[in-house]
Amino acid sequence: MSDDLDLPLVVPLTRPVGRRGFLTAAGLGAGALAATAVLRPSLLAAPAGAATSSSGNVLVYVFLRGAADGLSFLAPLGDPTLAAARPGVAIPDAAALPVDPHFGLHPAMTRIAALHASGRAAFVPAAGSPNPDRSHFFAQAMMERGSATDPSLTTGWLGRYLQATARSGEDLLRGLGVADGVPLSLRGSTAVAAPRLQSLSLDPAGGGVTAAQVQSALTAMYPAASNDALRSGATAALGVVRELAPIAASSAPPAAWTGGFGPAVWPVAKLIADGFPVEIATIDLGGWDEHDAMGSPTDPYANQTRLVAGLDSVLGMFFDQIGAAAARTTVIVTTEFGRRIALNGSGGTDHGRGMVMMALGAGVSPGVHGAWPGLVDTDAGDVRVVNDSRSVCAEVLSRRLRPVDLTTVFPGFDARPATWLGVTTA
Amino acid sequence: MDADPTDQHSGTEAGSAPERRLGRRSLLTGVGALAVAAVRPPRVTLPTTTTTTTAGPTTTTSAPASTTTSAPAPTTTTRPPAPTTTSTTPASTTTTSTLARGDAALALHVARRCSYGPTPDLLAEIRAVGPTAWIDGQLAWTAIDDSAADAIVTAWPRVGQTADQIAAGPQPGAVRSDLAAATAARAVFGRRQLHEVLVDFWWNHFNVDVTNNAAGPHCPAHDRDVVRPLATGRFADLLVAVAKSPAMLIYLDQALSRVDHGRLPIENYAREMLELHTVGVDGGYDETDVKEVAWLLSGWSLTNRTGTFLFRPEWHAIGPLGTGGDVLGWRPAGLDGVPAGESLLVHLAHHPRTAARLAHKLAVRFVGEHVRPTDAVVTDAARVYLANDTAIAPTVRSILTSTAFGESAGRRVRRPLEYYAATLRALRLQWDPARAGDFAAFTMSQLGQLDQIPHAWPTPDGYPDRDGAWTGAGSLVTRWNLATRAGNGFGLPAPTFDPARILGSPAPTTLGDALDRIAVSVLGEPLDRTARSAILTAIGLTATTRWNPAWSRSAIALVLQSPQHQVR
Repeated sequence: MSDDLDLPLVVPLTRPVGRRGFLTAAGLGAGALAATAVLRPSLLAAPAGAATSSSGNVLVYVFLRGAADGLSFLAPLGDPTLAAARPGVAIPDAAALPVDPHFGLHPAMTRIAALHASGRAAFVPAAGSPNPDRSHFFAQAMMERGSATDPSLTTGWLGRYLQATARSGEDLLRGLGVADGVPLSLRGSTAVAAPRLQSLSLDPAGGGVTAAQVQSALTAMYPAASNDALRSGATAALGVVRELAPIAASSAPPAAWTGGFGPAVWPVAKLIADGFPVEIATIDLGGWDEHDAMGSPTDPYANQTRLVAGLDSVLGMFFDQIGAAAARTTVIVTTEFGRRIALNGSGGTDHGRGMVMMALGAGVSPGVHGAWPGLVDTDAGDVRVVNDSRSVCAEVLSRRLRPVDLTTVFPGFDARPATWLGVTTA
Repeated sequence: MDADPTDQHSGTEAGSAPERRLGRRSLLTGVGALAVAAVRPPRVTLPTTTTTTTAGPTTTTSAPASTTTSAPAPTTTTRPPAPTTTSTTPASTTTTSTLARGDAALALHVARRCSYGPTPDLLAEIRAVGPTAWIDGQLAWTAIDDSAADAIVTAWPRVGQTADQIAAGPQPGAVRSDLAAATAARAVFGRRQLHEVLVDFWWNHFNVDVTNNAAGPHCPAHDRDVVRPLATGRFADLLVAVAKSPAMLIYLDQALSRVDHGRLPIENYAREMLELHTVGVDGGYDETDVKEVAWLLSGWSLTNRTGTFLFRPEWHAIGPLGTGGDVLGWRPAGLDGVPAGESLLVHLAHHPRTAARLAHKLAVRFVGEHVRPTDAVVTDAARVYLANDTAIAPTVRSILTSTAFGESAGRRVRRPLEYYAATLRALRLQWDPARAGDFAAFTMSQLGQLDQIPHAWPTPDGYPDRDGAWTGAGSLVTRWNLATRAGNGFGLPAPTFDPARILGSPAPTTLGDALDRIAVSVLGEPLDRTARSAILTAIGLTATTRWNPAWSRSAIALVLQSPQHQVR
């Protein structure tokens, strides 16, 4: 590294996981939290039998924004190319947590390794889109559209699923994006977006005007709004305010969830734990664009280790929090593309191709799936994409959620079962 | 993908047959035509002849003359007293009043788009000189006395400091709230409103994240010395200045890019510069170009972590471009080092793809998401941009004087900073120097909940300029609750505002009268009928209920919760 230039080792592009936040998130178990759950009687009474819900199964789509480095998640064991390309940064064989005779996890992925050991974690290396564009924004958008070729699609793959399978009287919370606006993956549906649960209850207007009166005034005003996005956003907002009123007092994240990735995952964990009928939820976790100083996987304070540990910890906390609902909840973890095999001049990696996807939780077939092209036959120095990310999504969707025509969800992509990679159990 | 090119909002603007008859050219010109275009429901008789003749010199493609700060068009007197004209209009008195209404609607439209929110004073100012002259005056912002706002922002010392000073001083992390507060204060109290809107535009176009620990201390200088002075100048100058700005060099890792000892350059800045700052993702470059630019810019670095731009020749090599090839038509032609990088940046600033992309992005900002890259408002602006050597002021002027702009009233949703500032402006908040800290805290807390703390967007694409990105359920509920807080004066960083100023005197006699006065004061126009009756019904009273001044604050809150306060 630069010795005469005292620049920081950490120059993350996206919101950093603060060290303190990471330690908080990683250091505290979440077992105590489950006690705070408020179960909705209606769902307890009829968890799976209700006509509006075929299974009660849930899909959580976690998007790691900024191109998470797959080789820092799941590395081929005993591969001399990797060690040579990434001195000091490659996962050492001795430290890896093996999940396959040929692959091991980052040593900080203890919770995910435990999920694997209990048969609930599947990994797909060399995954991605056939579209080779290495722009974050373009690749993220194409991933969310579920298309490799059509940047003009205004809807997302999850939005099309929700829309195609919607029944009358569908619950407003069926689709939920933890974000300010509806993420592209959910567009095309009536999914709700909110960055946090606390922002879903109305205050009284003062002077004796109650929150209920405010709600009533807003409900009458906004159908006349001149802007489409404003009008539909307000309708959803007011419906959700009504629905979440019973848990308004307990919607803030508890202390263990306030650091790192916690606040982004908490709303989904809380709603599922409390029995709200969320079927599809999306979560964005940023900070993965590690162009410099990734550091050693065995150094707990290295940038990449902190990111990986933060992810591992929050996913573990998520499954703890949702308790019994874990038996019907599947999490897909993805990113837009992987990173270059070789380090750049600053101990980081530039934009690459093949990434690692994970499917965690219910209905997953444990282990490493799909083809592995190795690190010698590369795509201009990047891991080749040989496993289409849509195969993973299509398989999970088909096996876990409502029946849907996959050509609607993934237009122009052959998503027949013959193309699946076996990440789920039949 | 910064702006979704495929937007489903179709440009179905109702009516406006009279404008069509006028044809685009004439509409691009003067104040009167704009007024006509913006007036919607009440059909206005057109003072056709007068408007076209009084039109000032618009920035046309052939006039690179007025490149600097937008020549104030000699149209200030303009407003022809609505003479006679054609058609079925009743008496001339009626015509005048109709036109007066039209002027009010246009002034409101211009105020909503070109400022952080209408106030009675601002609307009066726009009506007094006419919208075009007002826009020209705003684009020539250096001539506007803004000493009051300049004095206000001195309350946050880091805004005036160098990175060295900030890093060496107490609490360098407070640069985030200092800069956010100063930005919000200029939006609320400043007089250079259109300049402030453009500063926000370019900050996001060249996004840097102030929460990045290393880049943060450089952000005040980036704001003060790069973005503000150049926000209406030549884009080429802005692009080069940003490329050398320590905040950007750190944020996109360029400062560490070196090719000595067999190292490879870092591609991050090179890629984002092409994709986000200039030609765009479909601008015709490929991965080879990205690598070539990364090599070309290797060694663009800093004196030290909190220092200034420094080219380090020992970290630099020209790379593959030294042996042939080009990047989007640019070749080194014997140049190397900093002159080569500058030459490439200037070339890209003048590239037609950059012109088209910037013109579209500005049109989306000022006109709406329904604007397509092929629309005349975009192609005209791109032509003006190139004809004026990439000057921003005439490009923006071209958009603001277009037919499309005039027809787009109320079609965009305020983003959180705009909503926040518009709320404080609507309440006519008075600055209290003793409560500068409270102002910063209130700004950070409210904009934090709304997820748009200035300069804190993490990724290089800047805060999204898409209505749908800001109308999620959580975002809207937070806005409604902010309206409640503000209307009631809870936590406002000032001596509680005075509702009597908003209600006017003599005091209203009925609830309906009070709501109408509040609306005209805080929204700049009457409450629409649906919203008015929604409020009355919800609180179980009628328009004729005798007004009780104790209701002032909650009535203001309810009006601020209306859809009209959400749009711009």
